[in-house]
Amino acid sequence: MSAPRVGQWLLARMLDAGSHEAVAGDLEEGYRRLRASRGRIAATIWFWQQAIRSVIACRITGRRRADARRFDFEPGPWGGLRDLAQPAFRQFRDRPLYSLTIAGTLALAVGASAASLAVVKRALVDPLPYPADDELVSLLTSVDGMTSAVSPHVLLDLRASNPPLVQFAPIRPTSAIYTQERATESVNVSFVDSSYFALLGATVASGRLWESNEVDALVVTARFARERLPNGREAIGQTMVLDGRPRTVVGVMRADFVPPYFMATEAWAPLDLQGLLADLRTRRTLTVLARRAPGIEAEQLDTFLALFTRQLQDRLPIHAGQSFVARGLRDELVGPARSALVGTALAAALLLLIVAANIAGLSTAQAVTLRHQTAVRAALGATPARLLAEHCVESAVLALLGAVAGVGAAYALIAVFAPYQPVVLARLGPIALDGSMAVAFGAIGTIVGLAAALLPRVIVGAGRGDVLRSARSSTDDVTVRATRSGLVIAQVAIALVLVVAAGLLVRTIHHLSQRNLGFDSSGVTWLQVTFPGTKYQSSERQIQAERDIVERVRQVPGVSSVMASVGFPLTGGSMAGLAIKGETPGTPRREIAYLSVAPGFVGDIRARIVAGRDVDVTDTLRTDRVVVINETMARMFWPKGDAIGAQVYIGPGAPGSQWITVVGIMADMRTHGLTEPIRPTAFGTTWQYSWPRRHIAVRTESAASGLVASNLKAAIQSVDPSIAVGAISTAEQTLANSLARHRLVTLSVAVFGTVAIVLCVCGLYAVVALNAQQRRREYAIRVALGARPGGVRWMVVRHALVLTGLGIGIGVALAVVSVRAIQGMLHEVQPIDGPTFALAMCGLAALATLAAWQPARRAERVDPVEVLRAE
Amino acid sequence: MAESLGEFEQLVMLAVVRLDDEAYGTSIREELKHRAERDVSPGAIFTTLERLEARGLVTSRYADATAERGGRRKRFYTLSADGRRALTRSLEIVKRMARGLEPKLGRS
Repeated sequence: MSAPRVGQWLLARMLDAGSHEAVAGDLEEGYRRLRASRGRIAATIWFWQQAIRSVIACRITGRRRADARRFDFEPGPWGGLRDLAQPAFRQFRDRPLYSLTIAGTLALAVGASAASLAVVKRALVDPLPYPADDELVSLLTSVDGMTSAVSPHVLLDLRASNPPLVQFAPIRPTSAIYTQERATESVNVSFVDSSYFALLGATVASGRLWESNEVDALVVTARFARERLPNGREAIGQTMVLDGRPRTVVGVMRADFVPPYFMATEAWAPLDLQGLLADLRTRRTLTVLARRAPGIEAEQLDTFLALFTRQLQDRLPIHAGQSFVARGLRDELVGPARSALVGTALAAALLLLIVAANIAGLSTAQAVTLRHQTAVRAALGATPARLLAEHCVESAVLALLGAVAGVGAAYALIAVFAPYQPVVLARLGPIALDGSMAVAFGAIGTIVGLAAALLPRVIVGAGRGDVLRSARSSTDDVTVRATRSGLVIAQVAIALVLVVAAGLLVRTIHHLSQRNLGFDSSGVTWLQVTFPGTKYQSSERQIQAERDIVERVRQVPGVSSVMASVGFPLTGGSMAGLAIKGETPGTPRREIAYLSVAPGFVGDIRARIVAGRDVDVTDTLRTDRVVVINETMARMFWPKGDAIGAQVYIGPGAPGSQWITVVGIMADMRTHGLTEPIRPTAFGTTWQYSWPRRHIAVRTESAASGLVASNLKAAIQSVDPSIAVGAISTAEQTLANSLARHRLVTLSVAVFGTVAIVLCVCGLYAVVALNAQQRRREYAIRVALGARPGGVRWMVVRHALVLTGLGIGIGVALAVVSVRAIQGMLHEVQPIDGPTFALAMCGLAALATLAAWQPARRAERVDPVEVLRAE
Repeated sequence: MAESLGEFEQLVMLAVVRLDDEAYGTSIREELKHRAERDVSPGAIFTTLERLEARGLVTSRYADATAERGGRRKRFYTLSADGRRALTRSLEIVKRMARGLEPKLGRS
């Protein structure tokens, strides 16, 4: 007899207890009466009709009692807290786009800033892993602004001159031949004296450091002991034959010690400084670390060194043109990357600003949307403080979420960056986001997000909940419009700065990658071989070995040409002093780069002789010495064009009878990599100037390079197993590495710039569309009075262009100032580059037009009759 | 100032007065159907009475549960003193507004 079960069940779920008892009771009663009089079907139909209408009445048109509670405020601490927290979490359901945009963009900006700041902190703030690192300096010889190592003689002079330095650590890096029973390998050995370990705070993990009288001792790295010694665990006491001389391993270095120079060092051996003094005074073989005496400032040391330089030059004219300088160790290690780091950090900070502006814009719009609801609630008794508290909690939840996600993103970004670190900031410890930085960035992100979300609401006055104001069309508010327009202008300005910076960097990369190397690097692979000294003492033996190797390697399948040289383009050559016959006596020695190449090298590497001839097989130990010079050198020293036939002396010491004839001029090659300037360079022939080492390079067909690499070593050692073979490099990889820093910075700035543009276009669209919506009536009247649709469209687009124009104006001023931060990274592009600025400005203007297009179309399609009737 | 009443609120209150002690959901609904020719859902009546009660114009009391209502209680309503005043005033206004208009209304 009772009413439909399903209906009753639904009613129980859809009505609260109070309404349910009354409504369901009435429905039950009505159903029974009707069923008794008119039958079951009529009663069921009636029941369902009335049930549905009742639910609508109770839940929608009337108001259920439980709903009313949302607008009252329960006393009691927990009730109050719940009432505050609920809307904060409900916003994700009610306004997902708004909430996720705010949290997401904030996360992106916080992540980018935290990651780049972590890199900057490691590079410029964190102490280097050496004791009292601020006092460490590197002593250098400077010639024509280019710095290089120090002569042992000069080091002794300096020590004797009572300098404001307390410790000296000369380092002489070499590649030694390590002879084992089965194979010969090369080992990177740094010859140092015991002050090196004291200066850098290096201690052994096992064994000991050497005593002053142990000339044949050796300290090896933990990795070398593990991987290269026959029996890793018992490294101490083993004898290694290096360059034919037996040495005893006395200690294994701590695994976490990173040498500031020559990172690839595998072993340290005692330096024979007295032995080096037998060498010429002008041969600069030592890299020197030193510690400033306590209380001595960098400037005082500079003054001392300037004085020392002058006195040395007065005493020994051979040092004319050289100066001796000290450079802070950190500057030495970080120097070239500094502007890249600062540039990236600035870009990340700008991104954070633009995101803050975007959040503020969104929040303003949201405040306007919610104004009516706020007003109703205020009318129902919510106090302004209460409403403000709710906004605070809502914004804080979003900001906190964004900031926490941002810190997570920073960890992810650092993990992505890790593989690049060796090429960008090799000698620093691994980049990491430590706990305090993570907390700091979480806090900064939360504060920025909270402030950006809250301030506009306070300005727009959502918290005041003025019913009368909200009852009017609430959007035609001057404050709201001004706030949002200002924010959009700021976004355009910041976006312009980022776009200009990205543009300059992209142009730099383009210029660098388009740079003519002066030779063909395609398919080129090389390695260095070292001839053991005892067996290959004479130049004849070395030259014969080179010819044998070239012959043997040529047989390797896939190899199309073989090149032998000492020094190789892209890796640079050695630096040497230059004297020219006939120049006025007392002219300071000049510095040039020097490479020795085998006959045929120039043709095989596809470089070009522009005048005179190449070195060839007729130039031997028995004929007059000859060199080919590059165009830069010819221009620099023979501006009248009479270089060919000139007599020069290249090398340390004073020119004797050994004059060398310039026989040809080669088109400039980028021998020092893509980003370095071209230096004056001379190319001798290995058949006249031989060293017990060679670079052996091959050019391969594209597909065969991997196979060739493995066959190359075998081919070389088949000539003589005692020849040590080094690691293989490819031209492709070397070129990529030389651009890695530029690419990394360009990539991050470009990504930041893209995000900035997207946010800025969205912000612009919102403002223009809102404005066009508000002015519908005006457009309608204009159209009614005969304005052409094009005119209306132009009005909307003009609004967008005015905002963009103002932003661009401010942005250009900002950009002019801030691009100086990345000046050090630009090549062949001026910081104030007309085309880049013009393109960025036009691009932003075009995007502004695009953003305004849809609102403009809607405005021009306005129907006067409809709009004016609605009024 | 006394509260103003909506048209439906007036009808519901009039039904409550007419039904004396027997004014509850179903009886009010039937009264509206017979006299005002309005078919109203129980929900609409309930929410209206709730609203009136919240404004202090009606009071309610629960009776015992009955089988007829599926074990639910009847809720009887009576007008409060405020309710009677508000209703009287509201009807007075209608009367005043309508006074002397019968000939005109009859013509249309």
